[in-house]
Amino acid sequence: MLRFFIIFVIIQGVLFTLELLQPVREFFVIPFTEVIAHASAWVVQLFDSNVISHGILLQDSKTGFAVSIESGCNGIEAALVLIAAILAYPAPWKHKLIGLVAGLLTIQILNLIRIISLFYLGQWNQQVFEWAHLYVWQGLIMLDALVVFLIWLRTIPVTDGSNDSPPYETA
Amino acid sequence: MKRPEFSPLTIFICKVLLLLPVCLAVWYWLLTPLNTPLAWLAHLALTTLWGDVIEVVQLIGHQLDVTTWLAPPGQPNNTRASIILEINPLLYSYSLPFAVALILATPATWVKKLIALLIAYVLLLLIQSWGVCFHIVKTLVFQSGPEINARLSFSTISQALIGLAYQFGYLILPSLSPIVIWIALFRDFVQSIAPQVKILENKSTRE
Repeated sequence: MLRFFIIFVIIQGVLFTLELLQPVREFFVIPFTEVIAHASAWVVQLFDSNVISHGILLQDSKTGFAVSIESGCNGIEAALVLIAAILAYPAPWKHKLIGLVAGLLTIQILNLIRIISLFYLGQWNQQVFEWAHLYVWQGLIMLDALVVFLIWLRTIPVTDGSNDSPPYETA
Repeated sequence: MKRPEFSPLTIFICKVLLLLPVCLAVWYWLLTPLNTPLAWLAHLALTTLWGDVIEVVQLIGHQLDVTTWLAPPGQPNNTRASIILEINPLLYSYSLPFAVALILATPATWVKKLIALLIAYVLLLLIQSWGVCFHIVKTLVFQSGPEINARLSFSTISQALIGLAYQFGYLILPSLSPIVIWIALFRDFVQSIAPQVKILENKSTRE
């Protein structure tokens, strides 16, 4: 467990530092956030045709109200935590790959719900928006990562522990 | 008729989601007593490590008021006026209601839960202090103008590290720390949800 935790912290530290580097922000984080804004607009347009996206903004073209999707709201931090946890855990690479794809997808789906809910909460009540934005959704997204990780753990085949061969890779 | 059976994980998640609004409400109601030790810790850390810049950190209402020894831009350092910052400590202390919801939702004795709550509160206070302290340092270094930045005279690498420490304390620690603390305190429950963890621990012990 300690070994898992140490590897987790190292991977998390490296990934988070990389995320903050200017070239990574320019060529990955911002374009990725723009895709999220675009996807959010596409989902909202299914029931509200006034909503558009440009850049990292999601905007109501009628009222002019807009939310800007910044760091912490694009789901990348929760995704990095999940990536670090799955990579740090000794499981077969096939399982890791499945966990990463399914887990990242789950986090981004919940993140779309977060962005859309905040977009409408902001138009309804600024105080509720602040609460949901700054305190509630931040924790919920990370809880989602925890749940995904626990579910993923349960899918790894259980051995009786007497066999050091796969599914657990030896140290 | 047979009642539907839910897995311990499903029951746990439902309990957390039900408890969370209650914990957030209680946290908001108790903000002043809960955040007072945070203000003390931030004051202690900053006046000890950066005593020539920070005069006092105190909780006023729900805000942390930071009084510095720094004169505002354009005024000499021996002037009576000084830069005062207002910091929202809730940005960091929201980790507490999440930890409480996780702990209360875990099947364990009340004694164990109480001890876990105490340990989690103390650990989270330390982690929250990290966030608050680097928020204050970041605000002074990057958001108080070029004159203040020059007066503080941090090297480029130090400024980069301050930025990294602030971002880590703001974006990752508040939401991740309750989970890590919960896993550490309730490993037996995590093992019961995912037996794979127990096998990993047994294997580590044998190694």
